Amino acid sequence: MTAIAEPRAAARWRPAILGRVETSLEQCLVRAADGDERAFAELYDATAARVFGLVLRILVDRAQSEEVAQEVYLEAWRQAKRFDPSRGAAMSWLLQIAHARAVDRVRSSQSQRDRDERIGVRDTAVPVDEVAEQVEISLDAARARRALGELSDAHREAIELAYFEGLTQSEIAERLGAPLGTVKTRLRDGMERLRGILGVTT
Amino acid sequence: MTDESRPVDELAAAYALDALEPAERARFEAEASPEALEEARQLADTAALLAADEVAPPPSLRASVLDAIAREPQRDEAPPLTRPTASAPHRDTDEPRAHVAAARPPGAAERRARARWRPARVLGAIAAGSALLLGGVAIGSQLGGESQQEALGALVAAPDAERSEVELADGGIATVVWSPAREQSAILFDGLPPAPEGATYQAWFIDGSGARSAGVFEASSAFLLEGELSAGAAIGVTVEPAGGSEAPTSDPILVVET
Repeated sequence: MTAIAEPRAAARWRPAILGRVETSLEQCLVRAADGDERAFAELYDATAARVFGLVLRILVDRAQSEEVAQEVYLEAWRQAKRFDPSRGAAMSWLLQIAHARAVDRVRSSQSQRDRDERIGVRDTAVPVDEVAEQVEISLDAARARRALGELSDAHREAIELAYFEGLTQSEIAERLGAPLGTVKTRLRDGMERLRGILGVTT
Repeated sequence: MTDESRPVDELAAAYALDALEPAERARFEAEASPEALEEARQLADTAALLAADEVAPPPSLRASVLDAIAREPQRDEAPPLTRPTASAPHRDTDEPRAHVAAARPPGAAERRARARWRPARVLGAIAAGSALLLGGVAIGSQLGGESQQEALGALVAAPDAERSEVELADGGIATVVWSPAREQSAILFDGLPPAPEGATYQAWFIDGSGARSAGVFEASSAFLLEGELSAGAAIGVTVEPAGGSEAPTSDPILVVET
């Protein structure tokens, strides 16, 4: 990475600082697609806690989560040109990569065993708040919790098993002892409802 | 197939949640209606809103990421079309961590992202799904080797690729994909049972001069046929004694005209 400021660097730097909101993330990603490492660093700074929060939630294990988070950003860097700002938000794009990567990892058997062990340990040893203290409660997070809270228990359970535990719909059916068709319906209806509650923000 | 909603469309939510098995994902991407693909895209955005908890990663991760990207080449916009075939080396090999990342199949997000760049609906979706086809365990072992996998990816991404879907007698579905320009063909299976004990599946190119073997395979979710597909040849699959036969010895379980 070059430390020498070219004339335009300052100009590029400013809007990102001024508006650290969604739009600037898209700009960062678009610039990163042209090989702008500094823009990518900005993107990282603005998104890493969210990406890491998701990966850690799925994998539980910190060391693995760091590995996967690294993979996520490498992939984002390599694929940045494929990001289409007209089709969605950079944060969402990044989180979708993160989710897919974390789920890939959790489905590899060793990770799954490790995870089960850790969850077992966590469940028995530390009741509720171990994670909570490291988690920064943001407005977005509060909104997500509220939205999940508005779902029926059955819908919420199916969606959480899929999204946060990385189970396939067949595995969810097995876990719940419910017919696959029922699980499909819960995922579909639950997600439709969530979309209604959260709205489409792009 | 009509343009109305299709049975596979009901998988949009599960797809958006990355909750499908590789074969189901492939099927969704190949067969879902345009509306369902758009639905899945939107629901994936909704799902991402659930990922709202923030946990600061260790500072070392930042250094490690920025260090890695500085040495990591970026890809062109549409590699499925521009990347030459099978033998094209993956360029990430000189950097260990990057290599690990590169060797892993791209996730659903990338596939969706890729799909955005592709105008054609069905084959575009399959092409985007090539990565996930490669991701299936069965495929990996069946095709054995990344160059074969890349060949499959390149085939389904080929601009002239065509496809035909056949329901198998036992209820499974076979999708034959071929590219006249590349003279290549592959069969994707959803629900192909294992061949009977002591038997194997064998693929054939069938034309005026008879049937020519295109290789044997076990139950799998994809098989890249061996040998060149000549113009107008049909593609068939039979069950043969283990090791395969010189010529078909049983009725085909599927035949598709190309």
